[in-house]
Amino acid sequence: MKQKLTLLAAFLCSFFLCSARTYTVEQVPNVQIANASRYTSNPDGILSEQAVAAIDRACDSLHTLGRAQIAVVAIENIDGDEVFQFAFDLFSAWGVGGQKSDNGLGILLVTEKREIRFVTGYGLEGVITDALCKRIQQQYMVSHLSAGDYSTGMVEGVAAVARVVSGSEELLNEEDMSQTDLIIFIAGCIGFILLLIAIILIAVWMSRKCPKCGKHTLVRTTSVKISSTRQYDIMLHTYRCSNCGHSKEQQEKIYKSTGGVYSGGGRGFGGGSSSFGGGFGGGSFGGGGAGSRF
Amino acid sequence: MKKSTVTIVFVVAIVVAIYGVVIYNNLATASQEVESAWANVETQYQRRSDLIPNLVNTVKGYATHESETLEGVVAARAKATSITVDGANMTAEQFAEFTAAQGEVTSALGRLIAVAENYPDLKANQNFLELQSQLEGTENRIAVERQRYNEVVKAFNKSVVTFPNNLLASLFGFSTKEFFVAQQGADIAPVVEF
Repeated sequence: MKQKLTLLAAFLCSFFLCSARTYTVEQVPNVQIANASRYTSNPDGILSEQAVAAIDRACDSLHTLGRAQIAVVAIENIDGDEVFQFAFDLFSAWGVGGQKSDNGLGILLVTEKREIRFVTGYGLEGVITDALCKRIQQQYMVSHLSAGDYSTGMVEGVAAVARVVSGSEELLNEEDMSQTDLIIFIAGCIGFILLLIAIILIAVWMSRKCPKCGKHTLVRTTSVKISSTRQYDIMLHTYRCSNCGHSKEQQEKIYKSTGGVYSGGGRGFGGGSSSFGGGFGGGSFGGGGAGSRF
Repeated sequence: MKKSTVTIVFVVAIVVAIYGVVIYNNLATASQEVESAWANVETQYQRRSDLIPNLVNTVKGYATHESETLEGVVAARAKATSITVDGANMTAEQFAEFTAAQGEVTSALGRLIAVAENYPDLKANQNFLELQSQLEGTENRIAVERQRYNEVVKAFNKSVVTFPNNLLASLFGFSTKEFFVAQQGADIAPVVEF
């Protein structure tokens, strides 16, 4: 009896030890939110610390260059059988990639399913084609992964992706404002200022119109202060038309400045720096990519 | 009729007219979204269609005894490309015809890939491997776009059938649109026999 119990206990223990952790899309920790320089979610410790650091470095430099935003996830098992659907839902929920450029790449390793899966954002589909994903997996990853050396497989895979992405000619950089938007914005500002100047010039020109001969040749000749109150001085301007000799007088109130001048509020603390995390850029995926069993 | 009555009738008429314009604009916008989602679905089916000749030629070089399977794929593709559907005025029959034809392409391709398993040389061929991964990626893209189309159509249908839009929807010529349903039996895992 005792022996049977021991056997049962051993069986239960082995069952619990063998049973891998199963994740739903919401349960996978998003490391990017806590720290923007991290891209590798490794909750089960499948990858070594050095491997995670190497992958993070490669992903960070690609992101800084604006080539691609990569998210790497290594977990033991997933809820359900569809690794593609899981990867697609996960990386879509995280929004890997820029919102405009959609240059996201999600790499998912599920050890129990023995599957490695890439999903590419719309903007990367042309750079990392499905066939290229497959080739990278076959050449650099599958042999290591099937031997159980997950760290080497993932590091080499990410390195291969980085070579492909940084070798591409087209820059996919955009964050808040693309260069063309900036040019349009500056051109708009300049146009507005020019318009203001034009309006002022026209107003000045109109004010120089002589009431007698109609030519715009009035010139101010004298300017005398005729009275003064606490708030303002009254000036008498004399204008003379250089064309017909007609002269015109005009009074103008000039308000005195009232001492203390407010020059806008003090400067507060600026918006938070982007280097403390905040998550991925909001890119979307269209189903591109490839997967391999190992 | 008193003057005040006339004024009330006039105000009510204006409010109703404005309301009608708002409903029309909302429905028209939603309808446009459905059309663009449909265009995306068609694009991905077209992408798959474009892959087929290359795939068939590659398989032909290795699997010489599988002409029947290959012809099946070619015929299904020809049939599917002959059916073009206008996203704006799509009837239920046209939609069913389109999905059925594309479904045939899917199953014909499935048979082709299964047959390829019997040819080790073909399976080792780099070109075939890449075509296969492109095909898989395209099937995934089709699935994603179908899913997006369904979401947009469901939102549209909801706004067409709910009150008060339903009073004016038929007047403006908007009716519920078709959406994709999972293929019959697709949710049941195949039985493995030894």
